[in-house]
Amino acid sequence: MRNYDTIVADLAPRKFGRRGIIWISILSLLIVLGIIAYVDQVIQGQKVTNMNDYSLWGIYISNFVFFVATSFVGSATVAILRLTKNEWRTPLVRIAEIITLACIIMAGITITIDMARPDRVMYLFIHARLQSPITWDIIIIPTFIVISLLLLYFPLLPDFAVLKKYYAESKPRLSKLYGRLSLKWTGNSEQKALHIKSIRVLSILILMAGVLLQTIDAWLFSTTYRIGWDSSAFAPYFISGAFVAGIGALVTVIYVVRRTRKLENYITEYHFDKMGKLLALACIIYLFFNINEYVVPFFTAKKGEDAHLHSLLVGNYAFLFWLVTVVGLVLPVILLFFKKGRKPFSMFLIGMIVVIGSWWKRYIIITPTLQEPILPIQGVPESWHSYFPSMHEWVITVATLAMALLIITLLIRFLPAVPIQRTADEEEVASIQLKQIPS
Amino acid sequence: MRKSKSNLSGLRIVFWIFILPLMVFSSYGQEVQKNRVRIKADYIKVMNSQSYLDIKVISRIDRQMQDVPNIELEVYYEFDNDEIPLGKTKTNMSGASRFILPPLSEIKADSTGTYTLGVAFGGNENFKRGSRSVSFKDANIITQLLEIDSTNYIKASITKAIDTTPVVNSSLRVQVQRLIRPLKIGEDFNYTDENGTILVSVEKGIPGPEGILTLEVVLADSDDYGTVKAITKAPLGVPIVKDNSFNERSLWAPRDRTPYFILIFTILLLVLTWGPIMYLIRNLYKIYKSQ
Repeated sequence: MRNYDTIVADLAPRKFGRRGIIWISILSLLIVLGIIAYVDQVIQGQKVTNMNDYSLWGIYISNFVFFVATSFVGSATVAILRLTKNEWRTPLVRIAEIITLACIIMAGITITIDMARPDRVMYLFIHARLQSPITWDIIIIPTFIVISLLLLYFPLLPDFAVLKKYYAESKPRLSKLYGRLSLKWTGNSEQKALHIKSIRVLSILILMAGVLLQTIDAWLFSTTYRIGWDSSAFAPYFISGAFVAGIGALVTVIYVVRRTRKLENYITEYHFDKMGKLLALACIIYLFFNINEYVVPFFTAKKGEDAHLHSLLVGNYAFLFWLVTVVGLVLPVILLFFKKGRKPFSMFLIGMIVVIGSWWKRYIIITPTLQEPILPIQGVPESWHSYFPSMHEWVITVATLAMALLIITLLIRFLPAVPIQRTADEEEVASIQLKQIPS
Repeated sequence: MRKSKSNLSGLRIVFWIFILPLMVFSSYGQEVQKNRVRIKADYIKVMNSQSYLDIKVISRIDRQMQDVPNIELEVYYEFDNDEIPLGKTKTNMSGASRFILPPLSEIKADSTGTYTLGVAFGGNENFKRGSRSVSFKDANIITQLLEIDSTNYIKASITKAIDTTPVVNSSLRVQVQRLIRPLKIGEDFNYTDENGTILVSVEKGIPGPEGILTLEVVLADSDDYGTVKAITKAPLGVPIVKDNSFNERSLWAPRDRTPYFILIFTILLLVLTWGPIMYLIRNLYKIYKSQ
């Protein structure tokens, strides 16, 4: 059993080491390059991208959908595991909350990048039509950002109070900041009652908002009558996909945090084993929806849909499609069935594969459909029949991914990655239980 | 002094060498090439209405046929080698003009009942004079609506005005007036029988304002009779139902006409999300105040 002081010392935020500084420098460099590319895009216009009249949604939108999907991790872990009373969630939820916040912020920024002129965001509010799914999107994204922020902040209140005390002598300025953020938390019964009630409300709220967000994101596509998107099962398809992307990202980040912060005693193999089972379940559900999305049209497809399926299964996008499906989805399920596959390092590799697969999956969902327009145009330039992002698009997209990682890194630097007070409480309860067991 | 005088005369010679050709060529340039006008005139008679001449004036300018706008034309009729003026008209910007004719009773025909109308242009600084005459006999079309075995028909008879004898084996066109161009009904060519009559069925389902169709029976561009047209209003169509969906609340309407179910559902979701958010922010404040 660890004592309270050891727990606080282990879990309190720490300065970056040399590797941390190099990591932040690389991310910052990528972000600067992305900002330069974006400024050039604003000056020159969307002509610097490879988007055209056919592929009017390119890599930016697939990246946006990826961020939205990954932000579901907050709903998937914090809410679902809390509501189902899975106690093993404790060391994982904080990182899940951080990923959720970082990803939903980046989703909002990415959609602005896609608009070419950032001032057009204002028009979305001024000229909003409630009939348009885009309007639903601009309502739900700020809402989800606020909820994610509250979801991160509420459980942090006791930890801020702990950190205020911990840094009181060694870092008085930091202690003062944590003190302000703790909202004068003393842990009295009234505060605890409000705290528990608020987190319960937040768990339900984030789950509802998460499902809404994924559904709206799916309806953005399925209400456009486009081949490959015109599906009544698109919302559950997106939710299950978000489940996979979110848990994949969580597993990956948890492994890195565990190693760099030396939290092996807090995030144990048991947690990875549990996460592995959860990821396997998510992948199987998503696989089912994939089969539903592709196998049914395979038998019933009309001419246009047939061309779309052909491009995916054996055509231009076949390599990417099968890579994403087999390596990004089927292989993780097989590996996760074995106990060795659910060990920390294996889980890290599987998580990485799942995240990369999830990113390319969004690309596969969006781009091939755009190549099959509702009304084909005669005599279009040959270049319109294919799309691959330009250098500007790649640099900006990589910068947004780097920015998400930077937000996660900085939050982990200044916040306890594992809840301190809750871990201490659980340890205390465990020690009391141990004492009560007759020898 | 003498030297300067000789220099001066030399300059004059040089001046005239350069200026004279310019003056000669410019005088050629000032002589305007007059173009020939081509006048087209069509006689059109609308039964129980006015008859008129549709006039079009064009000219070949710079190897291109162009409309001749704003020129004055004189309209007259010929009788016994005399040209009796009927009036004047002016072409519009498209080079066209419509001259409303007086009743044919005021125009004299020759012994065969043939009328000859003329359109003349007196010429101006740009165009040479020109004229065109058109000859026709007067004819009448009478229409009648019939219903035979639940099928609606329009029956039309064409007769010569001079002796009311039927005009046989003439092609009459039957059409419904539409906004852009008429809708032809019946056969492509409806030839009149020995009674000068045709019978054309009016198919069901043609839309018209309040179900009224404006049917036209036309003898078009006849060498003998010009164009003769009879217009009949027939209650044989399907009433046009005005589409008022633009003003309704729909998915494709402007934002001030959002369907109520979307409005209510969105407001409900906003309340369901922002209500708890406000509650949580209030809880933060209460935590801050509770010590």
